[in-house]
Amino acid sequence: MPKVLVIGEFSDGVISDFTRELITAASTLSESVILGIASAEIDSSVNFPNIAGVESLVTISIDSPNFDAEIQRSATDALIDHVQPEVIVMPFNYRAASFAGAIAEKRNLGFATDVVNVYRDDQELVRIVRPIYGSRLLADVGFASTSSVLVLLRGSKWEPAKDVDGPINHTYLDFSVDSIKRMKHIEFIYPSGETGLKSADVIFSIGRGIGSPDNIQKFEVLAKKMGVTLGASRPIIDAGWMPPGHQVGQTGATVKPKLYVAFGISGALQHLAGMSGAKTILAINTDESAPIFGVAHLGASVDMMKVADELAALL
Amino acid sequence: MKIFVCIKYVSIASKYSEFILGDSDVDPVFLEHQVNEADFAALVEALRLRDEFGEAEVIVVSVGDEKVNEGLRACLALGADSAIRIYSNAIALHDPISVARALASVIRSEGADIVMCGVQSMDAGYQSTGPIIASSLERTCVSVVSKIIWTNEFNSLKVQRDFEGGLMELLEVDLPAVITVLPGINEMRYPSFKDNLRAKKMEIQLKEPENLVVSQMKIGKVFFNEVSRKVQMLESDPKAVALKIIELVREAN
Repeated sequence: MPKVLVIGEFSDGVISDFTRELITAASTLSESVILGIASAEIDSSVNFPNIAGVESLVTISIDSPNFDAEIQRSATDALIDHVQPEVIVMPFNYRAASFAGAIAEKRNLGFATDVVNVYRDDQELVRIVRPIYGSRLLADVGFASTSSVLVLLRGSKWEPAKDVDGPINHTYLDFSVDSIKRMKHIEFIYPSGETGLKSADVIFSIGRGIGSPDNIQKFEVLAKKMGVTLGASRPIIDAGWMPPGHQVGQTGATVKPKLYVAFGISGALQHLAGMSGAKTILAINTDESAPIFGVAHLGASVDMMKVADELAALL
Repeated sequence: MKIFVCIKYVSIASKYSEFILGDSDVDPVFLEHQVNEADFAALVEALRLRDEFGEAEVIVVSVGDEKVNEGLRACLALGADSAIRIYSNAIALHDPISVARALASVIRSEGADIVMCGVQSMDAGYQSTGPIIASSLERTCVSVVSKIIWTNEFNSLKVQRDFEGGLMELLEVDLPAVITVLPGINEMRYPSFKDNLRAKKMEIQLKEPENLVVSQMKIGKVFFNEVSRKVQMLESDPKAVALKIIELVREAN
């Protein structure tokens, strides 16, 4: 049975939901799914849960923060050497993407990121689906039959795998790095201003369509009156019109509200990555060709400020 | 001091796109092109680093057929010192490894102190060109950077990396290095009419990469993202939309 290695994340004492989504996706490819984790938090006192679909767990203890791309890369290489998988599955986030391509290049692997579907064709070869030419189109992609493949999957596309009874088959892998470090960590800067975006049921999110910073107050008043949380796309934050804590998207918060109303947001890939998991998405944008309509359930081609005025009048 | 900036002249499909026979690609007349936003931001950073350093040159480099010259000219107009277009039939343009190796091959032969590019492209969004170039050149890569400052000795850079959820890391990286930047790192600049005229007269070198490996990937077919066809459009009346929002908010709370 060809092996699938899932490179998982373990921080703050838990295996991330994203990792569990990867396990679900990997389980559709093989019954032999090995979960590999390199983390600064691993020692013999940690009790890992047994997860549905996982055949065994291999862990590496590292002595640097989980964000160190060079160490993560070496540790991931060690996991691949140990498991010898046919398919390697990783999360598509900044942390993993900062070194995954380098691993694929050195090992000459088939490689794809932002993968929204992965499956086997009728010859049992692994194929993937990912965006092409922007977010409107997808491409179905195959790889040379002789190569192993490394794929980074998009979040919120698969159901997270659940815990099951019984102990997990766990191997600790020895690991050391002796390379000269060319990067020197100075400090971490933690996000300030907790806005409650991550736990919000309803988010009103503002994009470039707002036109002027003077218009933001209208939405602050609306959000307060309606009891909803205010978010924004990256350009609004970069322009300094709203504090960084409000940013939705890959460098901001990844949100999963029941309702996400996108006001004047065009829908760059980096924004879509942070909100496409919302249950209902309503996009309001005068540009009907904006990519946001590609992920929205409901859309309206109207001026966002006129809608804001109507809302204010109705409340 | 040589600073290379890798530029992608992206191709965005229109919503009316039609496909070529066999659906293996989009009919090229439905593709719109522009310089990748994040790569432009990388160029603006490179120009600033050059000007602060003094004796330095910024070289823009791009992979593709003749149409990418237009993108390279926009970069020359913004202030890049020279431009190189890389082309060969052996490059698989949809394979990030093939493209990044081609870039690395030329950058290696020219010699670079800093290689910069955007975090990701607007059309493919792999987030991998920088890391793959670094791997191919055996260099360090710092990804997803939102701030770059020279250190006092001008032999290393202080950079700020962004992560999901708003966490940031400050670190110092020795040169030579590869850096990928976010589009918001600086304010977009626009060339003047005179700049454009000057750029029009500048030469764009054409180079062929060496030792290309055969690409491991092959596109089977392209198709519309189904979700994008499922969006239900409401009546274009602000009051009706406002009422619908109130109804949806009530349901969700």
